[in-house]
Amino acid sequence: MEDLLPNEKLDAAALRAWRMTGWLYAAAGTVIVGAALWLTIRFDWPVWIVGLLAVIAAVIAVLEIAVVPKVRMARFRYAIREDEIDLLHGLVVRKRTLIPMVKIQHVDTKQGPILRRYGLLTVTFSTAAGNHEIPALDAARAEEVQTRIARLARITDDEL
Amino acid sequence: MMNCNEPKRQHPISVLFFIVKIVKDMIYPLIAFILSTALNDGVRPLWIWGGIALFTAAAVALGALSWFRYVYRLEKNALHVEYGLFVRKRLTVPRDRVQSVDTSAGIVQQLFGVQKLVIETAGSRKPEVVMNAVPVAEAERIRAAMVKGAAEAEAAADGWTDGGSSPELPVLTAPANPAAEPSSPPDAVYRVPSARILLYSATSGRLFLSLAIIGALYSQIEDILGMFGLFDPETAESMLPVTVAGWIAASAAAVLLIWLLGTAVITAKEYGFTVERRGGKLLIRRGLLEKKQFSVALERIQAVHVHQNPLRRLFGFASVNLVTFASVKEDGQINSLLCPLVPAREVPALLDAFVPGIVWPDGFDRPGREALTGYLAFPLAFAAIAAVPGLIWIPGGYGWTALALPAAALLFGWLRFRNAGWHYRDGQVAVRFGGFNRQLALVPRRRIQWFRVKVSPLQKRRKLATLQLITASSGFAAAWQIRHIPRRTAEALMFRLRGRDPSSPHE
Repeated sequence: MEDLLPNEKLDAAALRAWRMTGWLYAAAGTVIVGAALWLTIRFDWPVWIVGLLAVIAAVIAVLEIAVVPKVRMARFRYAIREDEIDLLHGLVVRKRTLIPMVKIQHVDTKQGPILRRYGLLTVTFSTAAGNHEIPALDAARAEEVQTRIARLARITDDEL
Repeated sequence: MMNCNEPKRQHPISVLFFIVKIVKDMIYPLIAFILSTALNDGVRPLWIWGGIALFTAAAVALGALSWFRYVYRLEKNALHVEYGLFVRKRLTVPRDRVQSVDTSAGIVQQLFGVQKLVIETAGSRKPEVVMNAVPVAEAERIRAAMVKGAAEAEAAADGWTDGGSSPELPVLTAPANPAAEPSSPPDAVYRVPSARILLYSATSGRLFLSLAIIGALYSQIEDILGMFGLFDPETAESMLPVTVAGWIAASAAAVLLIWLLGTAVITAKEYGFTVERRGGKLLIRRGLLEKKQFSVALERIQAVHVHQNPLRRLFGFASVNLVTFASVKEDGQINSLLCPLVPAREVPALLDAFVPGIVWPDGFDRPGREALTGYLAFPLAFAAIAAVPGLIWIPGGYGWTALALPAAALLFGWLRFRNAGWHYRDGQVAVRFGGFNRQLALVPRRRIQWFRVKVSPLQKRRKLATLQLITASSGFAAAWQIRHIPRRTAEALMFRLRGRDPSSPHE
């Protein structure tokens, strides 16, 4: 049996967008740790609270900036075939998700402020039992993917 | 069918339900108004009574107007509804989108010979149409028109078998004319004997749930009574038992009472459970005080779920549920019964008669010994961690009792391993799973919304994987998992589920 794994990658700019998000997390973490530090000095809080917060914030920052975007980029693959969408993803637990084309009800694109800055879009598609997405494609590609899915999903007789 | 297209209204008694709804919607402003008026000292009683009278009059008038404005029209393939007081709304429910039609009759409805009608469609989380009072004949007419049925029976049966081998249906001489349908004999009827309903209720394990609810209510009652000085803690305490034996007897009595109560409630709910199949649709009737009817087209059924709790398994019974868009999950059980309780060995025959096209597995593939670690490791680890504080802090040398936790976890994991099984046959997957409760899901391939193979780091080393099949339902994601099977097997199974032909033999 021949089983082709999906091989299309996300846009390279996604790495920068995710790292940007990571930096924003880091900034938020800094603010929280700063506030805790002030409270510690002002109200004589035990030192371990601010210490613990600082460690958690640092770990999250390192993960979100240095590790997660890279791994996510390296792992995520997608394929849009005539009869199914094939996604390869997952950071720790590796997942391969297959969505038959006939089950797709809607396909949309969305774009948050960070993705917009990098000219990226997320394509989301929904079934009667939950949504899936292909995160971070460049605008032209996202449009192409969206129309392709919409076309393939429509030509088949959808029945729940 | 001359009068079919005429716009109609519900039975006038539905004004009552509209009024109730208006009052419900108004409850918070109303309470605010009453409190602010009542707390205001210089207010005259006339104001209060006047206000109440005015409000009542307004509610009745608006209720009547709501009833008048709620108009429906039944067409060949759709139901049109127009309603709304200030914002007029128009709704069209095409028959093709209808998942199920539900009718029930509470006390009020029974007094006036009407029924409550609920239509559920795909893609919406709450019912699309709710009519509180429709004459019985009218409800029947709407049901007949809105549930895909006899005419499409063959198509439905075909759909179930993936267009492949057609099963030997008992009798499929359904009349072509849907209007004549109710009078014609059904293709199959099954009435659950009352004794078995009683057994179902008694073994329904909802005891613990009702215990929790009653406990919560009790504490509330105590608070409220205490607030009004009606509850004297001294008297209550003097009524409490003083000895250990007394406590045990009292709690045993309480448990027994609650169990009896729960049994009575569930018996009343499921009494007279009858399932009927006419061509491609199922009609389920039940209820002693509140009579309920539920109808669903066979082609709307997403999966069949067979559930056995330990007690019922002991008696050799199982309960059979349908996973549809109207399914609700409650206490870990799926509440769209096809049959509350049936001897386990009769399940295949029952399914054959009522859900033709479902294939009973003729055997199960089982995970190998290498899967055992996967089943045991996590529950055991969690239970061991949870037991540590018990070991340390349970006083009086009883710390060792905390070890019951990891022991139970070990048993649970082992049972899950023992129950695990799967089988693929004729375009349908059977998944057997569960720990103390043994469960079986029968999922036709074409009902799977999406599926997924997962490999955790621990599984990776052992070359294992978990296969997840997701079907649709309204209230929950019905995810069926085949856990810790060899990765090659999972991939081969997925390959077949994708409709790819495994022409070259794997391995």
